[in-house]
Amino acid sequence: MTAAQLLDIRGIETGYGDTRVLHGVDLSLSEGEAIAVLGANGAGKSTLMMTIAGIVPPWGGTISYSGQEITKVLAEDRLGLGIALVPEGRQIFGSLSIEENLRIGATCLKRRIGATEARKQIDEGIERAFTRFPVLGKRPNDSGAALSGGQQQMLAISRALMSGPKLLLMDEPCMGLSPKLGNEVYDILKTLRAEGQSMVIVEESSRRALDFVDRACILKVGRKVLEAQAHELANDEHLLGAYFGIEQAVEQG
Amino acid sequence: MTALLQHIVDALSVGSTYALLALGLTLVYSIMNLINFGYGILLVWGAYGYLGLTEVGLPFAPAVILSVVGVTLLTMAIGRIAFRPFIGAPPITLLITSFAVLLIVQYAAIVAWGEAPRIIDYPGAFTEVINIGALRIPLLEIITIGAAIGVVLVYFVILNRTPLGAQVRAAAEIPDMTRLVGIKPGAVQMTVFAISGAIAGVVGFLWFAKSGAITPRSDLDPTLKAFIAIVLGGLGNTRGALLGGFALGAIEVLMSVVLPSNVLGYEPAIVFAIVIAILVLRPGGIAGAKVNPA
Repeated sequence: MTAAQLLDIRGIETGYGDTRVLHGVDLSLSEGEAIAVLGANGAGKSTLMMTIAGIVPPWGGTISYSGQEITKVLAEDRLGLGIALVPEGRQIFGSLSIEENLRIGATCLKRRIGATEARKQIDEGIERAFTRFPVLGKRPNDSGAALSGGQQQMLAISRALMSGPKLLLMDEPCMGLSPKLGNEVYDILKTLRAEGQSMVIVEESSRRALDFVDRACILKVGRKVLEAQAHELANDEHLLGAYFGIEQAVEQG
Repeated sequence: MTALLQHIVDALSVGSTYALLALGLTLVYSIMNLINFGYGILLVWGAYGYLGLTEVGLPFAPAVILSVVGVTLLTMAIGRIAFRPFIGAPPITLLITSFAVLLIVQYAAIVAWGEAPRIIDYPGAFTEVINIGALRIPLLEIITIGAAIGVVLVYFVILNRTPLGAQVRAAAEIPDMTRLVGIKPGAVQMTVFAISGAIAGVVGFLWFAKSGAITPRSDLDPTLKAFIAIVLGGLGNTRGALLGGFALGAIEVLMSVVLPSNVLGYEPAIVFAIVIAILVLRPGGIAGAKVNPA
């Protein structure tokens, strides 16, 4: 039995001003699956994520989620449907405390399940986040701006998980982090994978991503040039190298 | 010594209204990049509201409360109808929209109340003077300072202690991320218009209680003072707005004390010159140009 399709992107085109960034990208994901989107800087990976999250409006093509077309659904309504983005650069609210950053991530719950049930789930979510990342729980009232890069990434992931999303979009989760912290972030993502979290993860070129996703695709100047099972791609250094520089891929692996 | 204390109380009282005006304006700017030249006319409508309500026989307290609620609703309606469609447009579009709103709302006041000045009937206690030793403090100054402290406290509690306030702070910091966590920008904008409108209602009451009379064109002075205060303090920054308001109050009172009587007529020009000098030295304003609503 095959798992139900969660995300289905067909022919997405978009850009900024007069500049076209994505030229008809297709991507699909089943429930419980994880897929990596790889590509060099400027390939359109982040734009693709922002389009799925609704911040960048598509010029053409369709996005379907759980069998429903959501191409025109507003960004602020997509988290309520179950799509959460951990954006590039983490985008923690520095003027909010750690706990406020978590609470604000669950704003859509009130609309979805009512205030009483939402309050219960928010408290549980905060407890879960603090159990997963004890360092956040130690100083819940500290400003988000006071955290280190790695701690901010933990907070960004926790914030995205507060509403219990079905689909987690991770945009360059290790950017700006030391290799050690990057490995820690991947450990977290692996745990989430083991819990059955569906995920799209964007990376510039990383073996780490290929190690734990099911499939991967490579974007090049706004076009999908290759899609394969992750293990096939990971084992084919010629293929990998042909698309975005084997040295980099091996180096980061 | 007594004279100095007297001047300090004067400066605090004048500065209080400027600080509140700057607070209401800067909050809207921090969320929507809207420089609202129609802010002063909201004060005018608040005062006319109070005037109308007392004229139909409403007692003081309900008239004040209802006029503040009325200005809040008016501000929200203007925000929803006139400004929201242009949020995200270039700042010049919003600026011109605010001039258009000012003219429409001003002419509505002219149609409703006529152009002639109207005397507003405030309770007799407002003109009382309290003697503390050799100090003679008008009760209205104490009410003004007290109201300002109250409004600022409520403002900070809302902004820093409520989920709604957290949403406003988040939206001022990273608007796109705020949408990504499921917050509707329109709801945040309406919250901000409501807070800004309530502040305009309170200041309108205090402002015209001091001047005693009102015309539909009485908006220029408060609008101008509010803009000087926010530019002085640093646009988009709450603490800067408060600081700018009190600094302007202090400069004005200082000028009225030190200037010889034959140049007192030029006081506004001299105040402007001082403000420009401060901005030359600190282009970002006293508190620096960093957007921060709380």
